[in-house]
Amino acid sequence: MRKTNLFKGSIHTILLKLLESNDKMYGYEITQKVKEVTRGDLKITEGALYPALHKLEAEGLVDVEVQQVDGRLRKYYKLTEKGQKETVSKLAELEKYLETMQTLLNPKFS
Amino acid sequence: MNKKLTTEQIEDIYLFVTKHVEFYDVQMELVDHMANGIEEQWKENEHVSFEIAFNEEFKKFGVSGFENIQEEKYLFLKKRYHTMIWKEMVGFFKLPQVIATVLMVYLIYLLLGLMEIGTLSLFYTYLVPVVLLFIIAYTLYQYRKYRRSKAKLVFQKILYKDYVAIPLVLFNSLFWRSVSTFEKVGYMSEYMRWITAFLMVVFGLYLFVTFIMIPINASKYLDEMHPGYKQLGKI
Repeated sequence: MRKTNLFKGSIHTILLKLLESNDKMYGYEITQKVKEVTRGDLKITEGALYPALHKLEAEGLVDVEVQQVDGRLRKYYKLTEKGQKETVSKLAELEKYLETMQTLLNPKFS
Repeated sequence: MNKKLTTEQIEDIYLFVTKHVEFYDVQMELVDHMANGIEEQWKENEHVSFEIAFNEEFKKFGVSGFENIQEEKYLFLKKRYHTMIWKEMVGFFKLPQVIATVLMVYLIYLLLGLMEIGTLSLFYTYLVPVVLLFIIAYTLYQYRKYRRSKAKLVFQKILYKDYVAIPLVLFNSLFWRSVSTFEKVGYMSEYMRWITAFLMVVFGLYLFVTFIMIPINASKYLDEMHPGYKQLGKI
């Protein structure tokens, strides 16, 4: 199964959720974290991750903080207030979707 | 102790990234990403060469490499440019400026009434090279002033290309199209004179904002659009 395709539309929700539970994160850390949590089942590709992060940034859902680490600059992303609200509604949306899928896949005939 | 990249190797990554991406905040995050990936590979096997580890890491960005990231960033940035220009335009309108603007519109309206259509196009024909020369001279001056700051040059380039040069070309073609219509009719109605005067003043104001006002505040906008601009100077 092409696992990555399944999650394509939900990348923004995944990112928001990750940032909600991790204060601030940088790009590479996010790819590693997703791999770790899903035990390698889901891989966010680099080519999709950054445009998604930049989109969240442009929409004001995340804020950026820059720190110097090991002689290079590291760009951290963290949720803004608007981003926190958006996370709640996006998660609710996703849950609703999963519920619908559940009923579709396991219809209860009564 | 895990093997780390040397300063020269980080510099090599940086040189590679800057060839494909022009926005410095994206550059630095991609450099950091590549560096993290390479060091992660070294955790597994210290003996992998820098070049091989680098290529391995770059492959993960797929066939389009950094191109896609650069293009999408550019699209998101455009929205920021629009808000920035809009805010500057609105901020310009304080009482004295409003009066000056209204006066300008009225003045041009009067002038248009005095001029024959032929005189107007002749006047415009002379005006074009003057404006062009000024724009070229001022652009060169800005370039000399900012040539040390790549970030500012990129900021300016987008501003001048998308928000000065293209609108100028559009305005020019709109002007000539209107003139040829007026020539067919033979005169300009009262109503058209007002509209023309208004459009000319608004466009002049727009150019003033995009061409002069925003570049003056470039540093402020740069840090808003590409965070980390202030830190950049410290490295």
